[in-house]
Amino acid sequence: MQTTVAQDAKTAISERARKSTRSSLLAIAVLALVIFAIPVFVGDSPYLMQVAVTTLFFAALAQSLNLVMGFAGVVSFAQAAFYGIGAYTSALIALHFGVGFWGGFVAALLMTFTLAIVLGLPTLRLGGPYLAIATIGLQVIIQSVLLRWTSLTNGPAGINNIVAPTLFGIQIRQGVSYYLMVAVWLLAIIVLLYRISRTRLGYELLATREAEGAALAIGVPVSRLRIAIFALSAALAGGTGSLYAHYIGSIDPYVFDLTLSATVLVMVLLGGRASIIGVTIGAAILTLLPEYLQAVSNYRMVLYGAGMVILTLFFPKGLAGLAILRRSIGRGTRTEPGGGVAGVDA
Amino acid sequence: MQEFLQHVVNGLLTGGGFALAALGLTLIFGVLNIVNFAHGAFYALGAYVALSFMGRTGLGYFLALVVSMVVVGAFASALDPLIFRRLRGKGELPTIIASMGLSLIMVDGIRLLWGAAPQYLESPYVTEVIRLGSIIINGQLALVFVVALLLVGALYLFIEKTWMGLQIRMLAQDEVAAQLMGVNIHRTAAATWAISGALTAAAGVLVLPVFALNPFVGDSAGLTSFAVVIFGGVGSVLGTVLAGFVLAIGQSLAEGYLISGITEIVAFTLMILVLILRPKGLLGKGA
Repeated sequence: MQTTVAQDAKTAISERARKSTRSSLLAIAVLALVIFAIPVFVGDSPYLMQVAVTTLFFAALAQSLNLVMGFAGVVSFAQAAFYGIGAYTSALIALHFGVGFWGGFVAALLMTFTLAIVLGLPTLRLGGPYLAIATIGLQVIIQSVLLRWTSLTNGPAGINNIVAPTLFGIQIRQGVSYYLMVAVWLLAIIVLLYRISRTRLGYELLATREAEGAALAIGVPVSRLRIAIFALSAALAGGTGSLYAHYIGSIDPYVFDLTLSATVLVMVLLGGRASIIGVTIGAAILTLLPEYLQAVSNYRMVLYGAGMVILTLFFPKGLAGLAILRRSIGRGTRTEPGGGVAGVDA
Repeated sequence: MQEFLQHVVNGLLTGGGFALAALGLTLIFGVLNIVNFAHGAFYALGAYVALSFMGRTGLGYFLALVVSMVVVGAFASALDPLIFRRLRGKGELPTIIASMGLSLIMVDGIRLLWGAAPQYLESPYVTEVIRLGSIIINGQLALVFVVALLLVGALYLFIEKTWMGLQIRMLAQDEVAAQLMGVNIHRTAAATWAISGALTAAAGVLVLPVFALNPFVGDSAGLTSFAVVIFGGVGSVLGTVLAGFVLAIGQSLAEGYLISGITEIVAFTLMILVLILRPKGLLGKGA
C-alpha cells in the first residue's frame, strides 16, 4: 500500500511540475510574441523604436542582475560597471583590431566573465554583506579608471564612431533590424535563465540562497556556484553593454554609474526577484514611466530610492507576488516565514 | 624628507576625519548587524544642515556643529522605527537594499532642497596656518584632528561607563540574552542610530570646509568609511580609528607621489587586499 501512496505522490508531483513547466513555457512564448510584434506596430516611428530598444537593453541588464540577485541571492551594485566594461571592451577591440562588432562582442563576454571571477574569488567566499560593499567599490573604481585612463579610454570625452554590426554582409543600423538583434539576445538570456531554473543547478542555487548552511551540508559547492553565477551574470551584462555601444555609436564613462546600477536593481525588485517575466515587465515599466512622465524625471532618483524602501518593506515579492498577476505569470511562490521569496518562477 | 613628513602629517590630520566618519558605520554594523549604505548621506546632510543653520541665524561655526549633530542624530534615530526595526531578523538582503534606497532618497533630496551647485561651508580656521618648523599645518585640519580625538574619547567613555553604553554592548553581543536581561532593544537600537548619525554629521561639518559642498559629497566619504571599517575590523572602535589613520596617511602619500585623484582606487584596492589576506581586519574579532 505504501508504495502506491508514494507512487501516487510522485505522479502528482511530476504532474504539477509538468503543468507549471507548461504554463511557464507558455508565458515565455507569449512574451517572445509580444517582443517580436512590437516593431509591427511602432516600426514606422524612429522615436518609438528607440524607446523600444532602450527597454530591451534595460530588460537584458535587469535579467543579468536577476540571475545573480534573484537566483543566487547576491546583491551586486556593479552591474552598470560590467555593462560599461562590456561596452568599452567591445568598442576598443573593434576599433583597434578591426574585428568588427562580433569580435568586440566575444571579447566583451570574455573580459567581463574573467574580471568577475578575479573579483569574485576573494569577495564571494566571505559571504555576508562584503560582496555588496565590494561591488560598490568595484563600480566606483571602474568608473574612475574609465575617466582617468585617458590614453586608453579617451577620458570624459569617451569613444565615438563605434562601428555598427554586420550580419551576413548587411550592416545593422538603428531601427527595426537592431531591435530584432537585441530582442534575440534578450530572449537568449531569458531562455538561459529558464533552463537554469529547471535544472539541478537552479535548485542548488535556490538552496544556497535560502539556507546556505543546509546547502553546504548536502554537498552543494556554495562558493564555486556563487562565483560561476556572478561571472555568468557579469558576462550577460557585458554582452548587453557591447550591443549598447555598437547601437548608440558613442559612449562615455558617465553612463555607467552607480545610478544605473541602482535603477536596474529597482527593476528586479519591482518585477520580483527570480521571476523572469516579472523582471521583464518591471524593466519595461521603469523605462517607459520616466519617458512619458517628464514631470517625474526630476524626482527620479528620490522615487527609485523610495521604491527600493517601500518594495522591501511591504512588497518583498514585487509584481510577481501580486495575486492577480500570479496566475498569468506562472506558478505562485511559496511564502517563507520571514517574508522572503521561495521558488524560482518563470 | 621634508616633503615626505608633510604628506605624513597631512594624512595624520585627515585620518581623524576618516576615523570619525567611519565610527558611526562600524557601530551600526557591529551592534545592529546592519550595513548602512546611506552612511555617506549622513555625512553630506550634516554639512548641509550646518550650512543652512549658519546662513539663517548668522551664528557661529561651533554652534552649527552641535546643532547639526543633534538634527542628524534625531533623523537617524527616527529611521529605526520607520525602516530598520521592521526588517530585523529578515536577513541582510532587505537591509542592504532599503539602506541603499534611503541613500538615494537622501542624496537626491539634498539636491532638490539645496541645489546641485557647489556651496561653501565657512569655518574661521580654514585660512589659519600653523607652522611647525618647515611643516605647514592647515588650521581646519588641526581642528578636525583635535575634535575627532575628543569625540572618539567621549564615545569610548559613553560605551564603557554609562548604562546605555552597557546596553549597547549587550545588544552587540547577543540580542536574545540582552532582551532577557531587560534591555529595551528598540530604545537601544534608536540610540545607536542617533550616535552614528551625530558622529557622522560631525565628521561632515569638520572636514567639508576644506572642500566644496555638493549633494554627492558623501558618496566618496561613505565608500572610504567602508574601506576603513573593513580594514580596521568590523565592530572594533580602536581598529576603526587606527585604520582611519593608516588609510589616510597611505592615501596622502599615494596622492603626493603617484597621481592625484585616485583616493577611491587606493582605498578600495587596499580594502580588497585586506578582504583576501585578513578578512577580520586589523583588530577585528572574526569575519
